[in-house]
Amino acid sequence: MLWYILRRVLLLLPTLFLVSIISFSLIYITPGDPAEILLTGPGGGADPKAVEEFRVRMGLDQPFYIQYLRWLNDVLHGDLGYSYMTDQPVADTVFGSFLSTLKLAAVSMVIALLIAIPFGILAAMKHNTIIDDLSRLTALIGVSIPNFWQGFLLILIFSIYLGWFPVAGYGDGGDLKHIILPAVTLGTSSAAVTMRLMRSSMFEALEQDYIITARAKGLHERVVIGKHALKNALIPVVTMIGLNAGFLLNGSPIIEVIFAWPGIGRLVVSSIYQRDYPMIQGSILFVAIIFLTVNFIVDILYTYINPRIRYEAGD
Amino acid sequence: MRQVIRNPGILFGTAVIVFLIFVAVFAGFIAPHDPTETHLKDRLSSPSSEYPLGTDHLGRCILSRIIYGTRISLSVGVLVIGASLLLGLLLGTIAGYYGGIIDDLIMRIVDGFLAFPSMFLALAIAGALGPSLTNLMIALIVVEWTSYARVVRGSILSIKDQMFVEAARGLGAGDIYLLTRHVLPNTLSPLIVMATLGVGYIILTAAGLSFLGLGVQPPTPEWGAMLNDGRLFMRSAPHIMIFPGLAIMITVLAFNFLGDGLRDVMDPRLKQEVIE
Repeated sequence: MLWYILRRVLLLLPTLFLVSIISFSLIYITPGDPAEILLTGPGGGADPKAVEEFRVRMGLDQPFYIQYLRWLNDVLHGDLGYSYMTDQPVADTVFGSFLSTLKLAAVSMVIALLIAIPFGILAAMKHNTIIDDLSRLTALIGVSIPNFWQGFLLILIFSIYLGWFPVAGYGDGGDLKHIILPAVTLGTSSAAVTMRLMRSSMFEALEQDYIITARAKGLHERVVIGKHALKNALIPVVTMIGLNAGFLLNGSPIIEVIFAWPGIGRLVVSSIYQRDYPMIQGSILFVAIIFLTVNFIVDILYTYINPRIRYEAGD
Repeated sequence: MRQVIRNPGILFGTAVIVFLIFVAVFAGFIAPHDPTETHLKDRLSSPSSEYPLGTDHLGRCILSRIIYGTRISLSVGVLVIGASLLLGLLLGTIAGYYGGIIDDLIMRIVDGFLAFPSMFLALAIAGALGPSLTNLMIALIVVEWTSYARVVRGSILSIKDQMFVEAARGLGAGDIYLLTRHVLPNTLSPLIVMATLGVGYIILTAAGLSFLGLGVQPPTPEWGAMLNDGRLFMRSAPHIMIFPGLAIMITVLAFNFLGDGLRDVMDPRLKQEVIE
């Protein structure tokens, strides 16, 4: 097992290298000189002296590979540079907003699983009936609804008409009242996919011989499903948590903008508007590393739970 | 073929998509108003006989804007998926068929791109290139091609050493002939399913990016951007955001229905489950 983990870590290295190059290169695909664009006010052209000064100060006058190596060296020491806008360290801002996103994602994940697991089980038990068809239809609708639209509808109904929740904002450190609507918006869309997976793995588990044995023993159906089948059916759902992490991260820019949630998605969007390149580079890199780590842990967990994969992988 | 006709998902999906293509092509005849013409006297008005879905903050007819918006959403979806498919086919085939260092190199690049949550990468690229429809599509292609390359490579690896391919090679078939006649046709069905679902996903993502201001620029009618226009008037005129959202949902749903139905029909493993 240890050897397997070690090998997987080594395989991550080239990916990490490429991820850092892609993140860093973002500033280079921008048409024009970032310093000039940044210093050009609404009144007209930028002062050439100020532009030159800014370029030297930010190291933008160096060739690409020097800039990259400098940046990489800093990154490896935990320094993601300083924001063009606020002069604050990028690493602090990124980490702070990531914690807000994490909070939102955790609540969304709970909502998703609370919906997906019972309804997935129900659909599997009643497979090929109207209930199963309905669950499939709901899941398809769930992945087709634009989450920004769904967010607005929730705001319209629950904040504007009913007045139950605030329209948007972070409140007192992201309290329950403020987190509910964005978390429901994010959670329901990932619930759709999880529910289908729960259904198919439950369905598979119910076909196994030990279920027939359990039923033949005269066990109550509740025990058969809840104890025997569910335990095995939950294994693929574990990987689903990894997939969900990607789903929740992908939803965060739009949801956080709509609900004014100070997370990493909103940070990326606002840094793009402000052309705050160190912030864009830093947050994109950070998000990718988090995403890679989550998938890595899920992979390892999955192999641990289900050793068959390890051998199939040819170790 | 009978299965295709009997599958309700495929039927519904195809019917809606055909309808949408019709709307897109004949937008000029169907739309009651010019989609960019402003009627400041009638701004923010609710649905009426003159404006069936009401008007926005500049008094533009929402129905007409939705009708013209079909053109943008459908073409973005199809063009992005088409380009991603081509790129994925090309690089995936090269990687899978030739193997070795080329394979390693291509697949490491694929891994690098797949390491990012797709929305963040698309946002960053579209943002860095600057807001425009073309840049939005470039960003989406960069994000999307990798999964096709991966699938193509995988199915080529599983096919290329099978007997029928060996036999054809033994008979003197060249690389290109083998690929186009024997290997690629066998990778087709997963790709068709992926591409159909992909069009829906791209339409959804493109609308999301336009909603954030990174895609189509005003006054071009685009569904995501229309929703963004409606944000400030949510209290007084919720219809501005309700109808474009509905249009996005129906379109994406149609592609998802079709893709889901095609998967049932084309994937023999699932078919067995259905027969049972």
